[in-house]
Amino acid sequence: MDGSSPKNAPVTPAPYIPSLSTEWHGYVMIQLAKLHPAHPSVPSMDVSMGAINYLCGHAVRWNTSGTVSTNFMPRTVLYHAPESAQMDDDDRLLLTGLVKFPTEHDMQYNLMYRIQDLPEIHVVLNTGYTLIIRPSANNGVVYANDAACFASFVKTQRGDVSDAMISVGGVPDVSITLKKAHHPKYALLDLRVMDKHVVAKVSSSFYKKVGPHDRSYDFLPSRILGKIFPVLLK
Amino acid sequence: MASRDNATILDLYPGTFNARSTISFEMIFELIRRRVERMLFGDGPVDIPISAHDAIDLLSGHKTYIMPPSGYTSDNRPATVQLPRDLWIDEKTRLLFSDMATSVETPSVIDRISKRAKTWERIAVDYSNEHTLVIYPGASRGLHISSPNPGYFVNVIWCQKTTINPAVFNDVGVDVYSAAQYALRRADFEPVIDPVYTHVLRVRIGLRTCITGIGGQDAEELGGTGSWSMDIHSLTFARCLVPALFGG
Repeated sequence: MDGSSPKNAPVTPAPYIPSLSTEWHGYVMIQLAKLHPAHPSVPSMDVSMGAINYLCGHAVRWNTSGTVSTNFMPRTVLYHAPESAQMDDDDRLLLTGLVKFPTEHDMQYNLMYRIQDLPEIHVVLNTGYTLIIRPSANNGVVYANDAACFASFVKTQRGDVSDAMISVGGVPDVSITLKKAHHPKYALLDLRVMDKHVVAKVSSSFYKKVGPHDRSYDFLPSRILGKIFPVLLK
Repeated sequence: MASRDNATILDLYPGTFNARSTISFEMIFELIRRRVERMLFGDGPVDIPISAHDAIDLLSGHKTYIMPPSGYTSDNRPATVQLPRDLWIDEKTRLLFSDMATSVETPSVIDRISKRAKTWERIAVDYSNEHTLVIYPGASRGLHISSPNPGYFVNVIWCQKTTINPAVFNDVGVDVYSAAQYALRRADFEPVIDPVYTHVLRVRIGLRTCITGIGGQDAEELGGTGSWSMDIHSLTFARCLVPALFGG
């Protein structure tokens, strides 16, 4: 990779409507159902809300599997989450919104803002390079791992796991377009990440290594939600 | 009828409301849920009632998303709502409401409500077409006549009514015995009544029972010898459980 790094390319807002609906909702419901301390439950609104309350530190009563007491009442056990598994009220509100109103634009925007608060998102490009997105940085594109830059292209390391997969339609969360520029020494990189957009002049050597291609990626709910709500993976 | 300061008040065991059913607790919680809804949206019609989970979460002090009734927001989107702090409940009450709403652990709910009954401020039940019993469950003195006095456990108030609802759950029991009947039926732990009294009044509610001797005239006024049962209205139960939600 050459040293020319157009890191001062401005990051500008771009029209983007989040479409983080069904798959994200399904993942949240399944993960919440797995949180039952004794055994995984079938996902449902009751189970999800019970699990959210459990994660908030409330005592939650759950049925044990298929047993009834002598008086034919369901046999239940009271569970308390360990302190290490507890989440705050903001997380609770977002998670509740995703469970109850997954298709509402407000929830999707709220989730988008939380994604934009993440320190890093890794997109393995399968070209030997990994794109590291730092959503809150405004310094454009760089060909090295620079914490001050919005997008860093680095060589993929063994064990790198992608937070996004190739888009299968709809509005992609990440799109990368590399075009030849008028000058033979340069190419144009057009990068969109959710509602942010950056166009950077890159060297043609980079263009040859990484492109040319147009690629779109969608975030993987399991990876992104795991970063936003680490308690879901515990 | 004279007031009786020196009536015997016995503390009984949990489970006093043991004729209460799962469905009665669901009904009580339903009143609480509707009151939360009223706190949020006022008295107007509500298209999509809030769920039991939402009501409990809101009472616990959490913010949550609610689909408001039509006209609450111009585009009918979920709104973030939170109840004022003075309506928040403690963790034990939260769990009690959760059990009431989800119809589990009814025997435990009965015990927990019975234990709480001693701390309730005031319960009024219809005794007959002419009398109401006003009960202060935590009071230390026995029987008071003619006007409610918070120092007394049982207050008999004259109050003309047209109908008395039949009792289903027998939350409150009143027995008027002749002295002879009482002597035969008295349990070992119940007091011996002074022979100057021709009759005995026994009132039971929640954890406590009040036993006192009364004269023949008083017994006549209470309807003669016999046993009566009364239910505490669901609304009264709900008010006792979350007074702040029902105006204190």
